[in-house]
Amino acid sequence: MQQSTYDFLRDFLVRHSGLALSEQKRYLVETRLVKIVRDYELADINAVVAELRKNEKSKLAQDVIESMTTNETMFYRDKHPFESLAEHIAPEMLERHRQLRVWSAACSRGQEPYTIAMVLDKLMPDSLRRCRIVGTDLDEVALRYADAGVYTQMEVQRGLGVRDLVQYFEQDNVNWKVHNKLRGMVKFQKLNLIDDASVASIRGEGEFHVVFCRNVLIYFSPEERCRVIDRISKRMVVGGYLFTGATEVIGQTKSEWAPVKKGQSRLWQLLKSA
Amino acid sequence: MSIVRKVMVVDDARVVRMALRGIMKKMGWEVVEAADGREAVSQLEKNPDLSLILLDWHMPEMNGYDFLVYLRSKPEFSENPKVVMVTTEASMPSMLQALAAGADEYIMKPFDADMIASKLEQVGIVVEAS
Repeated sequence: MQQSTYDFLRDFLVRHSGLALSEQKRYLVETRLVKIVRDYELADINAVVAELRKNEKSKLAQDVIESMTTNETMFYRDKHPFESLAEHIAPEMLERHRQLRVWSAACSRGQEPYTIAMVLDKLMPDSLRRCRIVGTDLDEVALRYADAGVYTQMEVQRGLGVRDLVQYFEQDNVNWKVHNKLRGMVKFQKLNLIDDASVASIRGEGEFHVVFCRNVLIYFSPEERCRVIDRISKRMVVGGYLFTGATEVIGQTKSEWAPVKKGQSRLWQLLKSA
Repeated sequence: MSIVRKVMVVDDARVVRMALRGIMKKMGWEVVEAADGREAVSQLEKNPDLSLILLDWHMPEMNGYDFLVYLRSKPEFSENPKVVMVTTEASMPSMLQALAAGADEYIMKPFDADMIASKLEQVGIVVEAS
């Protein structure tokens, strides 16, 4: 890949998805875009970029964004945030609020919001009525997958125990389908965290008590990271909790947060929104 | 220094036993093997200090399910060692049957090291990085 090609791609991805790639991420671009080269029967990555330059709103452009922003996900990823949710946060919030609203802000194929749904369902018999989970992502293909709620045998064996599998899934040929009860608790919607209007579009869901935004902030520049957190804060109740990835620290935001520890999890409590 | 724990790998396919042995040894486990349920019974007598059994279902002589029932019928083995089924038997009724008989976890083949580690965590075994 020529340097000018890589420079254009970096600029394109920042502008459209906020994804800030360092010079060292060249290999990532090369491995992820191989599929686009093949699918579109192009000569190489330089040819992909030539197409991008012609039209940044094309199907190919969307496919490039999706191939670069999709992350591997699994059920119960990191485990402790869900223990913290079950043991501390959900009980605390449900004491104060009639309904618990949770936003999974980079949900990819849906494992995180469905994990949240399983955790909450175990806490209360009327989870369908008392809990509302919204999963959002930039990647439309991943969202369709999440909405269908059908996972491969490999996927349901990563992070998920057999007892959850038999309780919350049904067999669908060689795949496993999430029960309708969980699907009823979760709604999926396309959303771009770097776009004010896009984030504002979930206003109709009400203010969230808990937000999971894990392992996505690392892809943004420090300035964009702050803007994303500020946008998220505007969609939350004051006193609500934000889970970020273990290494993702909130910096110089307009919104104000207190670092808190609940169980094994370190997370952020919103003091004042942006 | 961590304590070396002992696992029994029960599978009639040598290649599967080798794969599981490799994964478990990398995680620091001592591994014993059995090619069917009957061999597993005699290995159990020689190794009452097992903390884990990775158990195939379909095997000649005595199958994995029958071995599981036998194991859990012994008062000293009613809860430990933990049993993870590792099988091509990938139906919900089989899972329910194995759980009812005292299996702790269930892996549908094919597997990889990450999946094994993930399932061991499910049964409360902390996986140490190799």
